[in-house]
This record gives sequence, C-alpha cells and structure tokens, in this order.
Amino acid sequence: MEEGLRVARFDSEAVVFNPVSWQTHLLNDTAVRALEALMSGPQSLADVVTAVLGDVTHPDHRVEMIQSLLAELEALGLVETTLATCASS
Amino acid sequence: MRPLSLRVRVADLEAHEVEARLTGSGLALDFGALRARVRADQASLASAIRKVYREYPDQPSRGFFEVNASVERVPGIRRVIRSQVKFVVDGEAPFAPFPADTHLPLLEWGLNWCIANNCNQFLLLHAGAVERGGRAVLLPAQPGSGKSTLTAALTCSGFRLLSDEFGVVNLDNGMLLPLVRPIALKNESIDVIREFARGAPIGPTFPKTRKGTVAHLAPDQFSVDHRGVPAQPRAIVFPKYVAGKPVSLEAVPPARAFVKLAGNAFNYETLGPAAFDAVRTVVHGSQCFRLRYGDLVDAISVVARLLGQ
Repeated sequence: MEEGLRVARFDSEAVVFNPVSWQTHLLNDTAVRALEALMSGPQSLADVVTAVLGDVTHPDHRVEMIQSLLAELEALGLVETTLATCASS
Repeated sequence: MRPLSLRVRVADLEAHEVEARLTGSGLALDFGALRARVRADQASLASAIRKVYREYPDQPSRGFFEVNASVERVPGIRRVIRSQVKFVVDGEAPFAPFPADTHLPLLEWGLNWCIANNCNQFLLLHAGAVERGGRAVLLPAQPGSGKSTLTAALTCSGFRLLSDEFGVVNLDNGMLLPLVRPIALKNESIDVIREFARGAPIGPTFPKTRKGTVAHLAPDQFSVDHRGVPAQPRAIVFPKYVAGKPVSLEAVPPARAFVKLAGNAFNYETLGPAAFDAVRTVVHGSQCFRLRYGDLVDAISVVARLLGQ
C-alpha cells in the first residue's frame, strides 16, 4: 500500500487520499477492507481474499472479483502488485 | 454631529468621509478571517459601500491586510463614451473592465477572486455557513441552487452569518471561521428576501450585470460584531430550491458528503493532505443531508431542528 495514504472511514464507505497523485477516491466497503488488509504490510492474494470475504472456500469468480478490485486499486496508485504476491496466489 | 459612541461604524460616517477613506489611504474592512483594504475613485461606490458595509467598524487602514484592492476608472475615451471601472489588485487588473455603474458587484467579485486565489492558509469550501447556539451548519451548493437566498433568510431569522460564498475552515482544528461579507442576491432572490424580511438592509440594485440583476444584503450587527468567533460545524446541508415543492430532508452518506464537499472547495487540490484532514474533521463532527425546499420558512424550521433548536 502507498506510504502516507490517508483513509477516512465512514460506516460502510471510505474516502482515501493518495499522497503521490494528490487525488481523493471514494471506496466501497469491499475496497476498503482490501485496503485495510494491506495497511499492515504486503499480503498474498489469498490473505486479502480471506480478509475481505472471510475464512472459507470461495468460488473462483469471487477470487477473480478481488483480483479485479486490486487491479483497480493499483490503477489508482493505492496498492502495488508484486510478483511474489501473484506467485503466492 | 455624530452621537458619542465608543465604536464608530461605517454607517456612522458621512458619505464624504467614506469617500475620503476610499480615495486616500483606503477603507479597512475586517471580515473576520481576513482583512481587506479597499480604495476607489468614485463617489457613488462610497455610497454603496456605506450601505452594505454599514455595521463594520471604522478602523485605521494601517497594518497587514490579506487583500489590497482598488476599483478604478478606466482612463481614455471610455471615460467619455461609456464609463468603465476595473478591479486592481497588486497592480494588476485580473478581469476585463465593468460598466462604471456596476462598481459594487465588481468589487465584491474581485474580493471573492482574491480570497479564492490567495488565501490558502484556510480550506475554502464553496458554501454558505450560519451558526446558532454555538452550532454551525454548512450549506455547500452549486450556483443557482438557492444557497445565498437560504443563507440570507437564515441570517434574517436569528442565525449568525459566518459567510455566504466561502465556508472557511481552520486547517488545525476544523472549526469554521467567519468571513462576514454582504450576501450577493441575484435576480428573483432580491424580491424574495425583500418579501421575506421586510426592511432588510439591501443595498442598491445593479441590473444587467454578468450575473443578471444583483443586490447585496448587508450583514447584521451581531454577525459583524462576532466575526472573530469561530463555530463548530454540526451539520452539512446541500440545499436545492425547487419551486412549489414541499420541504424534504434526506440523509447523505458521510463519505459521499466528503467527496461533494471536497469537490466543491476552491483550494482542496492545492492544500492536499491538510485539506483532506480538515474535511474529515468537519464531516466526522456533522450530520449530512440533502435539503429540497420550495418555501423558506419550512427550510429554516428544518435547519433549526437539525441544530437542536
């Protein structure tokens, strides 16, 4: 996750400020939980899926949804996907 | 002879005294969050200023002013054919000249421009703001939504005016700082407020400006006297005037209110993280609503209820 990121949590939504782009983004609950999962440090895709969806077995399309979500967050410059993360997924 | 008083207001000055200040070292106007020193070379502007800044204390034009501006006649043939005036700040005229008979709207818009472009010591929201009982309500809105009309009606109903055009937020603590200035009423709003608050101190009417007909409601004495007193924001209300519709109030999710507030600010992107923190503080401490109204009395009742009054 981008260092210095500011997150303002409100109920099931959040507003985040990207310190690099200086852009502000509105995130839904799923996106916030994914972001919060990454706030303590790098996580595998499996860990992020568990943090967002719970510790149960998930159908592929739910995992793909989280992958897609992470790709969107990466496009916004909020998170970074590394090879290690991909490999562990 | 002027009555004895510890405090001399602009309205207590004779017109020629206001003119002497404008043509001399400048008229000092203390809005609360900042001060402006205004110069001008037209007697008719002095008369208009005396009406809409009537409650402001007459202060010496010494010391630091955030804004130093003047309204000056455009020299040359224009002076004879169709007289024009220009707004000058720091030796530059940022806008095209206006007809000389719209000097006050030019001054007010010019001051807005200076504040919006230079006062980055504050977060400047595009919002009206009023206070009562120590609790403030922000009224952020796009032009044409009835923000100024509602702000004016609230101040004519016992609410303290903090500002009309700018919601000024202290970056350190999220408090709202007064920036008390005349409220610019446009077109139908002028008669609406005349009808709503008979005898309201509305200055001269300026037809055919770039925004239609404009007149300014003078701030009341209480608001001017308390322009140094910040207020805690407790409600954010996005108003929208809809003719003939009953009043309705709808909760706005706070994150959505955050984004709207930031998106409407004059300098959010300039201030970046400091602005984010300030908006977060304001939103965390406030209830957020969308207000649709067709009647000012109903709208004022709703705002009063929101503030627990």
